[in-house]
Amino acid sequence: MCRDCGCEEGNKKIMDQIHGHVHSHDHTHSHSHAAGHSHSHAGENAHSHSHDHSHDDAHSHSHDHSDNHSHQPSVPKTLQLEHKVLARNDQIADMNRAWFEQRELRCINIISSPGSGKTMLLEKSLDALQSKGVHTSVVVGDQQTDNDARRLSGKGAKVMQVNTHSSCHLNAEQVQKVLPDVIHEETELFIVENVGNLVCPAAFDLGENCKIALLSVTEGEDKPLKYPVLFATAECVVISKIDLLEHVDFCIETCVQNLRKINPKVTIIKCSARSGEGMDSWMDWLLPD
Amino acid sequence: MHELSLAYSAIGEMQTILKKEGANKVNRIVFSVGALSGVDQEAFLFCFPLAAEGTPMEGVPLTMEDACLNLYCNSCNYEFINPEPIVICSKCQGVDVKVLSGQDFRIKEMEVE
Repeated sequence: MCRDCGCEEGNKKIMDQIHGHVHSHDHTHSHSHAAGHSHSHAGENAHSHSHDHSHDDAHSHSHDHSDNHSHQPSVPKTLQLEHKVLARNDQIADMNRAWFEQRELRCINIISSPGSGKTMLLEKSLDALQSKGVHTSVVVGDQQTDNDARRLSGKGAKVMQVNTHSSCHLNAEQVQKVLPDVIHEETELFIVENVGNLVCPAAFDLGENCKIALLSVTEGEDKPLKYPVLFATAECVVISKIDLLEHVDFCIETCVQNLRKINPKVTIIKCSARSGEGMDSWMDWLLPD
Repeated sequence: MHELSLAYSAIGEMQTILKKEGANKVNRIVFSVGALSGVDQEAFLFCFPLAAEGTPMEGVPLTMEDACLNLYCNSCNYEFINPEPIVICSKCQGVDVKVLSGQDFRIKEMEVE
């Protein structure tokens, strides 16, 4: 019996080389073989099938049906996924992390609202790092301009600006792309100055060893409570611009309490890049050895 | 406003999932939003249709589920849930607390065919 069509003649295995039967399927079809067998199909159900005929004189052919249909009815199924939305970003971040590890360099990701003093802190930090002979590379993220990269240049570090345009954060892929250009063989410390924003950059792992949050005394003491995601995941919080404390109604103790509530283990450093107060503590944290 | 980036990421991940499953139709999607994920649900729901346009996810009903912080206190070995993003042990007030879950934004469930 023909295993495809079910016709009796099929078992005769009498085929010839011009066998080519192309049948379009609405589901009655017949085909004849030059070598003398024929069979027909009659069916009410639309279906598709392929014919595997074996031929004495080895050749193969396939049958195409003009109507695409499948034998299996589509049954909805529920997939239990628990799949991270940022899975791809996290994968690239892990690659970045492995890359840093391989080169034995430390990567820190500095995040804060715009205007809290990230670039100023880095300007002073790069001066100090240069004098200590620490090879540093820096990536600065901003939507537009290379102003910050220009401010940080000429201080011994390799600096690159990444413009994120409409995006409010750096992602792992943007960092991955610039790594070969910004990191050189001697780089020991890699600093990412993220786009000024307290919310979005906190959600995107870049592969850094740790996140640092800056909070200036010109902001509110309750910022850690209002923006818990960043402050809960930061390893270190720098309370910046403390030289302005006497001019503002900022209570450092309340701010520290709020920070501890969100992130009990966080290292808190109070400093002013402008006056230099607290900069030693910051540098000690930056260079743990 | 990183929710548009999140929406595009979600669509990309779901397209990969559909391909793997050999499915081409999506009936419903459930997202799980961790208390510490930093996702603004309203903004995400606004952005999602823009990212879903022209994909099997276009027009699919979405469910957003809140995922509380699941925490574990290393000091008193107490596992607990906190609906607020505060990582202090609610039993011993200890600070050596590990976040078990509630930090992520996840595609929890998809009904496909």
